[in-house]
Amino acid sequence: MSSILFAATTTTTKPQPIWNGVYFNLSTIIPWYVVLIFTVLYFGLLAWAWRPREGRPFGSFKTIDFVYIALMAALTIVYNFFISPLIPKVGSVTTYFYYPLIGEIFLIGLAAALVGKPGAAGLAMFIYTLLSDIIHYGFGGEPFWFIYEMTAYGALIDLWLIYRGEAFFTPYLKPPRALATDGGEAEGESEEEARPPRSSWIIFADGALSGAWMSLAYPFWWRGFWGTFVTGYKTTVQFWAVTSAAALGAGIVMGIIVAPLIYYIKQVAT
Amino acid sequence: MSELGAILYNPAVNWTIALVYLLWGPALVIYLIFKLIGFRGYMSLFRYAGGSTFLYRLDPRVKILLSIVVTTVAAMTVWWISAIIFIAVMALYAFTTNVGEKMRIVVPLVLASFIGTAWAQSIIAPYSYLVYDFGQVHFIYAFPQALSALGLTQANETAYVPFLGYVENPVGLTWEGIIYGLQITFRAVAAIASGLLLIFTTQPSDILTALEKSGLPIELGFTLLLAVSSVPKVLEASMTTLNALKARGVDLRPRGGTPFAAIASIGSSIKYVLLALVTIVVLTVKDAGQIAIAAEVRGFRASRHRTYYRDIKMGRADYIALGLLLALLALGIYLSGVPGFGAIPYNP
Repeated sequence: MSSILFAATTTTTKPQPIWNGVYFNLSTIIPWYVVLIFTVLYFGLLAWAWRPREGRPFGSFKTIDFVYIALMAALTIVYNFFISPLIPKVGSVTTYFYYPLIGEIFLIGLAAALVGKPGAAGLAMFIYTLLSDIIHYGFGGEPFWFIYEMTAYGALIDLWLIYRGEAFFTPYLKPPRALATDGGEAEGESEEEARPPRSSWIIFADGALSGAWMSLAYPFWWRGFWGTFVTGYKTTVQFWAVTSAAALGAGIVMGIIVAPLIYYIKQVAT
Repeated sequence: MSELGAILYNPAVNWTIALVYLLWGPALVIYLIFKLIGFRGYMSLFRYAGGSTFLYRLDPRVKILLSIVVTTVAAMTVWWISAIIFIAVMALYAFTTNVGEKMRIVVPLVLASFIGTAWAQSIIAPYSYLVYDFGQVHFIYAFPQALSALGLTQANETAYVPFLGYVENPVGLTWEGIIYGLQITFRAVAAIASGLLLIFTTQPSDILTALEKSGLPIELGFTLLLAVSSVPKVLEASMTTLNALKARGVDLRPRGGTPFAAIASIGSSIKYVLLALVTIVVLTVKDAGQIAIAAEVRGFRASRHRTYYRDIKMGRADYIALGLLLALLALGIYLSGVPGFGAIPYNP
């Protein structure tokens, strides 16, 4: 028995973590420079979205936006750590269709919908990761898990928010124009004219895009790069490709399911 | 094959044992742990109760560093060093107030990590990893060969299985997989214990002040702190909603005498769970406006330079703790390079 228990002490010839539990293993399926370029571009977008105004960082964000993000991060913590573990998981199904992710798609999508500004999804993921590091995971592997969570879950949603803005998860194709706030009418046009074109399918497009992107995070980005880079995880290209393709479809389905719920809550809350 | 072997490896029994082990193992464990802690237990996790020992007086920045150093050293060294660190962190809980109440939270969480990881690794740890790490692999029970498609542990040679004899490429539960799962769990539990120690012994406002003094923008600190303090509110909203559903006669557990009734019952359970989720989110979000107004009337973001009613300063005890932590980090980095002291490969 003792030979079994202490056998692990003889494994020093295998790759070891170099710093803070990170292997820095670059034998990844997705080439490192692709991830680097993508990360730099996304953080460039965040730098623009969070640029200071009047000396204050996150210039375009209002106080209520931070409140929404905090509440959604708290809900995501409760969902991921207390509710999701109670959902029975069948390995043969969850490998290809990770249905518990529906809660996270719903909550991060809702955070982005309530705030309606580029950078909202990234900020929500940053707060969620920081909180989960403090209460559960510890800081091993950081700062790379921050980069992974923000890019893999938030990037495309934030990019889509540049186009959709406050109209995200509403049936309007464009955000409504600002109307006069002094009780009068906006210059030269009635409220009817200021209302942008309406199309219900766009809510489902918002949901499908958010769901597809978030569903790809683990099979595509984690298995393809971050898992290998940080923890030394290895997999085959075939498994990575098949699970990524399956997750794409699964994410679209889950996103379409949660889209009307997000729209409903956005209507109630704002 | 012995008589017991004939029973254990009867195809019907074999499939039943395999499926029960696969499907219900972790769900059952987590359900039991959830029962032990309960919603109220989780809520106390996010509520600070004061104390007077040195742990409560330490600068929050030192306690945040403790969490980082413990996680780092545990990740880069062999499992028994992580175990020693974990025991040392658990010993620090003796200096918290109401130790019994805290153990009621920490112990089930730690146990859940151990049982969950050992369960998972006992059937999914790659055979080649186990052979490399332990030299030889002992099967406890073999599952039907068809389950190899799920990526379970499968020998790439003939191996001995108790009560069954020598089998070609058996798939199933291994003793070394369990040991491996327990070993890698020490990394996680050391991190969990140190993170909870920070939460239990530090006022949320002090964590915010410490983060701001470490250069974190006030907006991020505010959002983080609001998220922490909102978790009990979310749990309370969950309890209220679920109790309201129960009071109206809703049963969330799917039941049914026939397969059709069971499917209908699952459908209605999903409907009620969705309704409950929407209600919980609406209950949580509806106060957002008031929280934002309350923050703004207190001058949130009014000025870049804040003053503090209760400032935090590093004292002698903080510097001693800081020195000890840096020494532990240096020792961990050194040991990680010494043959036999480095971390075992991690199979997530």
